[in-house]
Amino acid sequence: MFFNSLEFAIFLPTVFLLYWFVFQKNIKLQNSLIVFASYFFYGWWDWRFLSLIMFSTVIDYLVGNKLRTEQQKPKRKMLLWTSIIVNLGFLGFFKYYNFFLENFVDAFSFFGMQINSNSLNIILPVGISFYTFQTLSYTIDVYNKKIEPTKDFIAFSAFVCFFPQLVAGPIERAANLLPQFYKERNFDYQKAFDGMRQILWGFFKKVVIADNCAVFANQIFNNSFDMNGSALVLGAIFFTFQIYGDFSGYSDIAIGTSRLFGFNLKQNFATPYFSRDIAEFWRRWHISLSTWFRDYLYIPLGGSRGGTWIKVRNTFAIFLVSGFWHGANWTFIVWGALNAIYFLPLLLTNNNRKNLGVVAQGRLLPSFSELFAMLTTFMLTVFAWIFFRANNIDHAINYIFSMLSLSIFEMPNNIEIRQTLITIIFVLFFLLIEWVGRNNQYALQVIKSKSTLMQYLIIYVLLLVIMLFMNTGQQEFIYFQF
Amino acid sequence: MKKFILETSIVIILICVSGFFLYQLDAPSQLANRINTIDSKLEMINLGSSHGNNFDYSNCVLNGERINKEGNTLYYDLQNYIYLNKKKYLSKNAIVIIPVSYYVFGLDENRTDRSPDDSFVNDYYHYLPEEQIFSYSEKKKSSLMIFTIQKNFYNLIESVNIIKKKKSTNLSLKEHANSRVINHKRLAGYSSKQKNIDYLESLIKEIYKNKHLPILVTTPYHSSYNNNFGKKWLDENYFNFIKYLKERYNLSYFDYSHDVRFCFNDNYFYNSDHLNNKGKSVFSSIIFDDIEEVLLSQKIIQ
Repeated sequence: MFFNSLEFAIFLPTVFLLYWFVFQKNIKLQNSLIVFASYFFYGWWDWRFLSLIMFSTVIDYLVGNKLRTEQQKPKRKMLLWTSIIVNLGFLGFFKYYNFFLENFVDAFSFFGMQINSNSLNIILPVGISFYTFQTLSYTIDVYNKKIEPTKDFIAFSAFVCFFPQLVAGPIERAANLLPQFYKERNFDYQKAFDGMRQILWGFFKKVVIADNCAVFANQIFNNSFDMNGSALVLGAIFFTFQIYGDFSGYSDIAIGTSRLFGFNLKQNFATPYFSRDIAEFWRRWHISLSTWFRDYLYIPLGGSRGGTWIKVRNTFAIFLVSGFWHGANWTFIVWGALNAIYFLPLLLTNNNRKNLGVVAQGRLLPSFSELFAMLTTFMLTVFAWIFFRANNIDHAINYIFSMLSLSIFEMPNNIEIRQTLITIIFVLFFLLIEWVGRNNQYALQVIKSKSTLMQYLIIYVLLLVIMLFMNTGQQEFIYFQF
Repeated sequence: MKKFILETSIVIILICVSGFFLYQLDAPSQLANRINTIDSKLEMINLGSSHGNNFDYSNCVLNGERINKEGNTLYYDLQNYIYLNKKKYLSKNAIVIIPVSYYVFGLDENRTDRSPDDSFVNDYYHYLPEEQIFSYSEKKKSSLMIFTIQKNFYNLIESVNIIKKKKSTNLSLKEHANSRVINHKRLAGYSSKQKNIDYLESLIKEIYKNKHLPILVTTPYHSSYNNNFGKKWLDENYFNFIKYLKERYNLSYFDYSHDVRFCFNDNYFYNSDHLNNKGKSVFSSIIFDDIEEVLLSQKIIQ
């Protein structure tokens, strides 16, 4: 079920009313409703894959409880590896089987050896990368004795399958989300109102910004051979805003929806396109995944401690794995490598933690040097997204070569100028709101200091804008495929 | 809780009322409107794209109607004909004029080249049965209301945008032709030519099967438009296909594309490939006379 679908518009109020009016007096019943609703939400896409979530839930619940009593290190390790192998095994099979098979065949044929192989027609279960990482973090934290394993199977199931963030995050940690399932939840007007505001902002990002940018990004990337340099630049910029609006929009809807049910999820995006360097960008982009890799891969590998070689190795490891997490395609790996190359100079010169606060804190406008740094980071990001969006490496390279030709100085060709301008105006408007609200959890939260009437007026106008300018093509969320 | 539900409901109701207001401004699409108001058997129709607007039936002795749509594709020409025939809107021996444009063999069914405006097919959701709509989608159908609201809003905005309107009519025929031909050449190579020829053949066969008379027409174009294509391009992308169809189906074909009565006369053109009202009137009387000759020669009329 998509957030931007009619089904969800019926599903959400129904679950909300049942949750607060029918099951409000009993946490167990509320949690059971969440599990049932989440399975329904997921099963609406393909009920067969519910078995994977259920299996992962049971395995990690059992492993967690076994780890509670087991004190011998080898046995604890074995339990941990059981969880890792089961979870990553599913992920590996559904997401990477064909990729590895094809690459092995290609590698052997390069050396003149022909191998007969049949790739499988495998459907990638929606959100498998997200819930796999979420359950894995639980087992690893229990193993490291950072959290207590839960005895409450229903609460644990709800933690694994919580529908707002099940298919595209934020990837929650058990330490943050699981305890919230044990506590009594009372309806909080301010929290619910804030949730609705965030949902609305998420929808604006998705259906107005991302979906309208997607039309041009798709058109330009799919016909890149017919486009001149300036059109290709526009295509890359449109994709940059498409992916941001799409994914951060999803996160906002997920976080806002959770707040309607009394839950607090982690912030997943913090105005990343206002970053002054790549290190800051990665502290602001897909925060739940970046911190996951930091805590469960980068730090165990030694982090930034050790010699230059260790730093380089660990940096590449985290970025390459992050790229590969996004999809079984070399384009994602190159995208990851490119970001590692951007990041390394900052790390090696100890400048990777230079920009920790919000840009132009307490000021209306950034300084010239801040603006320059933001634009440079933005351009580097745009360039890297070309690999992320391209169909394959050849496509990306051709795209870049055509983009960097002399035709970059011509007017963009083969695109509808009027619609393009309207979309650019929306992107600029969006950036303006993001800039004004950059100190908040999400940009629209900036209106919370206004009077209630004024807030409702703004909400009404935003709803009107969504209705009048949404792209009715109803594009899927990009991150569903990951 | 009650406060939250009440406030949320008020905002939702307000936005629904605003949407409903804009929806009410809807003027039904011209083609759907024309089809829905057919009240007597049609003796002559023309299909086609905006070039089909060149036909003026006001002084025609036969009961005629334009069944064309701006930017139309051969797939929907076929579907429109099937629909009219199924609804018994056509008289016995009805004449079906099929105006064909230079680029028509390169279009895809639903005009996906028009992205981001994928509203081309919306009109057809208003009257064609779902099996006749290419890539029919329930989601698309459910979004038609939003489309209508958005379209009406754009129309409302454009109605006060005087500067833009003036600018669009200020282009000279030559300037118009220059930009138009680039786009039309692109369209001619957008999709499979064979697929479109198949649709046209199906249409011709269907017309013959129902004992109606198909007539293929290329409407007049200004010389500046023709010159920008060049003879070689036109033969390879257009006239060779027409020749093949004409010979294979023994079709009546009228080619006014280079007709000297029109192509050098600026007074007849609204832009480089469309006639103005004066041109339409002259062209219609000429083509109806030419069709009459065909009917006489084939002894369909005495």
